[in-house]
Amino acid sequence: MIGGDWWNEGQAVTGAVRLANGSRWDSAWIQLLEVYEYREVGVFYFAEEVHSLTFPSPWLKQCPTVYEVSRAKDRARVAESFESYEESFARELEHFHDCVVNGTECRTPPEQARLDMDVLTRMFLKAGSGR
Amino acid sequence: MRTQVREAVGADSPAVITAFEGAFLGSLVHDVNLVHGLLERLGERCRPR
Repeated sequence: MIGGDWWNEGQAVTGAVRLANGSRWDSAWIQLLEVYEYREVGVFYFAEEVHSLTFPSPWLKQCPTVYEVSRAKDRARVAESFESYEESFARELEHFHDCVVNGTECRTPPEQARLDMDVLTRMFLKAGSGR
Repeated sequence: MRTQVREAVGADSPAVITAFEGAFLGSLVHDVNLVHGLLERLGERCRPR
């Protein structure tokens, strides 16, 4: 864990992790209740490619999740975009239902949840609690 | 919940509860979990130090 912070009475948080391979992972969550806007984006930056995954607001119907890959080709930027209308939030609930009803192995088992909690707690502790 | 937050991070003011329980553990957790899943697919394990 190399960084963490929170501000605005806890309505905004951030954290940074150094991965074993030397790359850096930055996360931020910011809530602005007066703004009617929702953005959730994950981006992976590699030397030759950039991959991004953009989720729509879970309250909107028929909005696609967009996966985009861009790379250089013939001295130009080439980008491919994939749109899926299989709502990720609905699929999450369907998988949970499948786990409960049919005993399907959960993609996010308790061990994963424990690791998530550990990372998030370390982010908070890195920031300190004095605000 | 205040007790759990205090045990985890040593403080339990309203702002700490909002930040730690609400923002970190309740909201950012979804994205942290997503990144963990993607890193696993890439063969990159995350173990905080």
